[in-house]
Amino acid sequence: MLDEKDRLQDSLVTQKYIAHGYNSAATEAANPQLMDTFINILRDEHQIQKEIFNEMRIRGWYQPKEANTNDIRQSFSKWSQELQRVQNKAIQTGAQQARPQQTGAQPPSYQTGIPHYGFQTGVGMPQQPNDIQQQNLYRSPQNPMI
Amino acid sequence: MQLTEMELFYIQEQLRSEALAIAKSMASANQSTDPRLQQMYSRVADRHRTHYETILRNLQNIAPQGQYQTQY
Repeated sequence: MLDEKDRLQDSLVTQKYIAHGYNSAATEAANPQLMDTFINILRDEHQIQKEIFNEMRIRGWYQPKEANTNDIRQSFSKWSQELQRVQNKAIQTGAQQARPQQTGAQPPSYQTGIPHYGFQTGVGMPQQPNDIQQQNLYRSPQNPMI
Repeated sequence: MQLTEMELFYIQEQLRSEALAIAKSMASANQSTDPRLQQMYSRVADRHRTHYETILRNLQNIAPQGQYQTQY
């Protein structure tokens, strides 16, 4: 016989499986109406999962280990540089391809020396307003590195 | 309206999963001794039922009318 913790754990595993199925289903849907249906249900499955997760957490049955603060800082530094590297590569490749034509056309905006950030940190992160500890760990950059 | 084989496959997969999730949530609501969790499981079962009905309605809208064949 399953106990209370087993049941919550089982529900969580079921939710993960179902959400996975809807994500695949949405990816493979050719019919736009069907795709919307799958995506809308997928969102609700995630909300159910969050409810179950919260019930486990308030009972102390789900305690994900906090990431090391230094690791987070290093990760941010590393991946900020990676974005720069990839973009610089793209600009160089673009410049090489554009050179033979010698048109007097205006350069694309990303070549004007202003750093082009194609990302927004924090967006899409799971929001857990109750979890103050988690929020304190992550501070979005005020002055992005150039 | 047409349906690809892949879409039909996933519709059936998800209907199967939702049906199982309904059954499990209802069983958990009965077995749990915590009133708070009993309520949560009942709500979860209802939501899975809504999902099931939504997908089934999609299938009904897509299904060609008057060509039903019982293959079971």
